[in-house]
Amino acid sequence: MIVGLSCGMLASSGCTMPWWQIPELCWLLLGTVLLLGGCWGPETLRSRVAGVSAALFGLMLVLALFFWAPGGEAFGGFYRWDGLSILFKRLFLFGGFIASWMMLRSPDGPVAHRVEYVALPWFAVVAMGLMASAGDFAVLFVSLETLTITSYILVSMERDRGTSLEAGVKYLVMGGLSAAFLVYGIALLYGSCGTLRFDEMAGRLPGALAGDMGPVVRAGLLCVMVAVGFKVAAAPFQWWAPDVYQGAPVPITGFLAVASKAAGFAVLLRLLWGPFGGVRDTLAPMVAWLAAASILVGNLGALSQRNLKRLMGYSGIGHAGYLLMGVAAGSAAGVEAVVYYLAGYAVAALVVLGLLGGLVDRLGGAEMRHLNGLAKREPGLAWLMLVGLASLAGLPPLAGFLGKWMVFAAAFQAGLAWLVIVAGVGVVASLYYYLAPVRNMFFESPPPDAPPLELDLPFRTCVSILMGLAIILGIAPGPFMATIGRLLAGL
Amino acid sequence: MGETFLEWAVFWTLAAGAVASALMVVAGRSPVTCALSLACSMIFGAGLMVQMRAYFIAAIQVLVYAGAVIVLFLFIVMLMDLKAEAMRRRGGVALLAGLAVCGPLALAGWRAMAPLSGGGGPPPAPPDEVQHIGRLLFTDYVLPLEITGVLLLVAMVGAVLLCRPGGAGDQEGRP
Repeated sequence: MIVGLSCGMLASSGCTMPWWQIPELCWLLLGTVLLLGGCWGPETLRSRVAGVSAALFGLMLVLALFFWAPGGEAFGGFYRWDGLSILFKRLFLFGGFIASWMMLRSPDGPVAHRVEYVALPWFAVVAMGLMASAGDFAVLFVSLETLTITSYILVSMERDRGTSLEAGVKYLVMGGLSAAFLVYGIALLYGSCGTLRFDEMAGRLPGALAGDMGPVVRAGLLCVMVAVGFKVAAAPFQWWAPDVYQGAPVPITGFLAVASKAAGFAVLLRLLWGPFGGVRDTLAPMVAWLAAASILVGNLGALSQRNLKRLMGYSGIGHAGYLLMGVAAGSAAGVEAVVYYLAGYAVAALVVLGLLGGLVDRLGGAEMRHLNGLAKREPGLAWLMLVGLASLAGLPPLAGFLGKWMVFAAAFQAGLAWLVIVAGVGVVASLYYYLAPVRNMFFESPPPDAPPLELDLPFRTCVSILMGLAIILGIAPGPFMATIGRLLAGL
Repeated sequence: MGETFLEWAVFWTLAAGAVASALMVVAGRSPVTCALSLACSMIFGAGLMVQMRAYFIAAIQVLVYAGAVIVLFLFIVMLMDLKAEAMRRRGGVALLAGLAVCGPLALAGWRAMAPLSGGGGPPPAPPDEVQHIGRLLFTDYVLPLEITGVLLLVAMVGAVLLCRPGGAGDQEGRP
């Protein structure tokens, strides 16, 4: 605890940070303590390990929100402590916090009592934080691998359930393929630039691209972008997402949808505004095409889905597309829009998945028909769900609307009018499938023998706070945007 | 130093061997064949490293991958007696999909590499190669090294978790 406090507070000043001030170290320590304490600790700790984890995540989030200031690096530039990494680390902690709060409710049967289920998200957050702070391709690669391996375990944790195991295996194969692309791309870039350091590569890459190593550089860039495409589930590298989202336990689905996607975008922004900064104009059209494909595949694929978790998987692909639009814009406004959109998406997706996680065992499943008549059984929860879905669909005045607006504006200013038109098609399609569960909730009658839905107060509070955030972010984004602008000023 | 015919012949023999045995890994019927082909592919790869004068990497590749990891694979494969897997037929669709992915990749790789002149050969290996690598790992690259440690820890926790008998329904020793 003392270490945790000191790490959070001290990691704010100076140009070179001592190694012990990096917050990931403290998170790693906490994760290990939770893991060991949950196995061998006193009974009082073992029965409350999820609660302890949620409280610690909350504490770390508060420290991150109020005590962190950018500036500095550690490990000789291998670890960067800049505004971009701070913004994303807050987002990862937020995802971990909500996911572990959802685990408190333990709706997924006995697996939820396993201490690994509670402790592994800490390791995932450590890996994500390091990805966001990477200043070298070696750090990027190993931390990305740490994240994916943690994710495989979390996804396939309910190995007695066929879908969970299937999701784990599919994720493993796709993750292996993506890692192969990444490491091959890194090798090609190293071969043509002679360095793995982001800052050195930024200087050498444009020259290498123009010289006779040009085709090698191009192949390397392509491979790295494909790997990042896998990570953010952009089409045509999206096959794993719906199965994994459906098969994982619901809190893990939420964690992956929010934090893991954010980590992918952290890497993408870090690369495009770091080592690939000089060749961003070469890569922008490719990102724009990825965006268009993701928007179409995600939103059209979601139309026919009847399972809510699977629907969130497809819609997550669509949201990755909107986010890529902001990246393709290549402007500061685009990056700010991406960060805002990610926060808005995180809040809204966690409202929907959180409610689903809390209710799934009482409702009997995550199919649309299981939501029938929710408004009559539990009007409050139905309205919460409605707000979450409306924000995801992008209805004003919620965060989802403003995020889409900013992303579209950034893309339009960058001359990507065709992409905005494609995105418009996606938004119209998304209205249909986001409002389908609303019809089930409000206009269908509940099954006659429906048991009462008990949802404890902490859980209701959590989801209500999230909904409040979705509304506040949408109505009064001023302070939030000011923070983003301040932290991204040096990008 | 220029490229001699012998170097050329050795390179292409090793490269062809590596690719052929890698193909056998995916095309082989019996899991034992696949695992052994993987070991062969690793050894051919190690030969290529020797040609690049990366002797330490080559030795590690043989010792760790071909020696330890693949042998472990073989043990598991033989212990599990995977008959059903051996009987499974691979469809033409899989072949087509594989070609569709690998073909363009190979073409792109060829087009990227072919114009480069191979002249010069690899740089000479430093005399204290191992010390050099070790010093780099524990100075400049200490952060990635430590993250690798975290990775292995997580992988170990996951392996224990997913392989422990009793399944998720097992509550023994758990609150």
